[in-house]
Amino acid sequence: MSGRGIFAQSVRSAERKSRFSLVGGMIVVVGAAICVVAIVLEPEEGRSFVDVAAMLLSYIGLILVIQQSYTQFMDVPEPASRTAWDRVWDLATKRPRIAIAALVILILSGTYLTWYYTSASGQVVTGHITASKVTADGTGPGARPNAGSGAEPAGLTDCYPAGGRETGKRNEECAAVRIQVPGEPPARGHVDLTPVLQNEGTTGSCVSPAHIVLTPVVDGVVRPGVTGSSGHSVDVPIDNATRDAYILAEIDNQHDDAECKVTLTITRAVLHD
Amino acid sequence: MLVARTGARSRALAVTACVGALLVAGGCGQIGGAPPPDESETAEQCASLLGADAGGRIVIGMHSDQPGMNFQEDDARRSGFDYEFAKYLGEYCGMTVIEQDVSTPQRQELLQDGVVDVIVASYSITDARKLEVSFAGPYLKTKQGVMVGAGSGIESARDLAGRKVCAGRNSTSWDQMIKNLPGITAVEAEGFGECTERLLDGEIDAVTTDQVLLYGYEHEYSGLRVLPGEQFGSAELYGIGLRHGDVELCEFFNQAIKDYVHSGRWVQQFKNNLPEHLDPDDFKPVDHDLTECPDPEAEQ
Repeated sequence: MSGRGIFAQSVRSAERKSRFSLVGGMIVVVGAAICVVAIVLEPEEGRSFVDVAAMLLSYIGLILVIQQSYTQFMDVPEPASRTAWDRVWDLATKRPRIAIAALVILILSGTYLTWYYTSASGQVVTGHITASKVTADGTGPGARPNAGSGAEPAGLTDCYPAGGRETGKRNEECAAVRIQVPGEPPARGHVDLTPVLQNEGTTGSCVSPAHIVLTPVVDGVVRPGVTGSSGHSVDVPIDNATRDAYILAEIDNQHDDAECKVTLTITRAVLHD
Repeated sequence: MLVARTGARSRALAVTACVGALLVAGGCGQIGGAPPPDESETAEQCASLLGADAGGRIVIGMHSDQPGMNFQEDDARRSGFDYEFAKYLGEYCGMTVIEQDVSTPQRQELLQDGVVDVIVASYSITDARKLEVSFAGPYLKTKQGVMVGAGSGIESARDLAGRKVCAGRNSTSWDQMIKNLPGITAVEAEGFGECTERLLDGEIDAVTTDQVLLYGYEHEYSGLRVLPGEQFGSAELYGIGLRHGDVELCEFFNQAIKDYVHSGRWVQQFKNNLPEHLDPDDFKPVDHDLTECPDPEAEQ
């Protein structure tokens, strides 16, 4: 090869490297931006910090591998007509064991990630939960939320006076809260809720002695309720839903204090199996 | 000056003293002595939780101006339901009770500063206070009531519109008064005792606080009358004030309260110290009333 040919080839190689650096840089920036967005949305959308960190590391690793492979190939003079796929194929045929191992890892990883994100992992749906106060006459299966009610139903009072829920006596004037589970039907068979109560007044002990009765209504059918307390997560089964599921939340104040009025907020909701 | 009703009170004191003497003679009520062998484990646990030596001292913050609950006139001996309950806690712990006077606004500060180990001073459990103080209990339940001068002509809360009504500063009664008695002229005082003195002096028309306290005053002093049937506001649940986050001590004292109620001593002391016409069951806590003892760190 003449000196002029070698010079021209090195110029082309430098141009390719420069182009790659630009494209690679853009990929890294876009990937990093996606990761940042994922971290910000984590509480709402369900990707844990570990998920996002793993994704970020994988992404950086992938970029480094591609860059390394590409750089190695560009150092070898190649006809201009050869595509990137040709070069990948050449690499695969030259190193078949590595290529097969990489392919197997790729397939297994893809299968696992697909299964994990569609079926196995919990989905944080806090931002998609709607909670609405339902009036006494609307409380019960199929009840609809009050028009104009807020995301944090307020003015909730004791629904089970005189000894609590165990006695079976319910105050029929009591308002409940309808917590609509996102998805028609919901994507998982359980929802883990963290309800938090806040005393609306400056007096009374209304929060920590209160039980929160959570009754799931799946496809319009009322199921046995579970009981929780403010600030602690409660697992509510909503399995085998074919249409929709919602949960009725009621207050059972252990002190039977009729003056207690509380606000209910769902601070975390996770769908899981 | 407050005028004490003497006849019935003297007899009640004499009976109380005799009962107390019998209890002490029977080894049930000795303060500061070694606990019976089967109670030594409880005493050791209490001392450990308080960071004190077994058989040592427990400093209990208490009022001294609440007849029926905790009252000390001049240099006389203390008496009242709260006082007897504080003594019981000392027995339960096998420790000598050191009485520390507290006023209503001081309770939280003295507890946080470590001046007292616990507070037994008609200290209502509220969600707001639970952010700063932990509570065992309740050991007594009551609601808000109104007390007026015997000849005032005031018959119900409706008659209070435009009148001067007093409540203690930093007390839940103040909040409940503002919320539930519209149209009144609210008067603030250092404590409920000061309100009552002003009522007797004719400076104000009515006093509002927890009914059980009002009945104690009505029983003790002539010229005062609790409006019958006037109950309002949130339930006032008297708890043992503890330093914030002391979960184990809270659970320990919850058990002490259960034992006190189940043993019958609760009813006995209620009858000994408060008016006969009151039904103890209206004020007595049941087991499910006892508040949980959440760990503030785990809650965050």
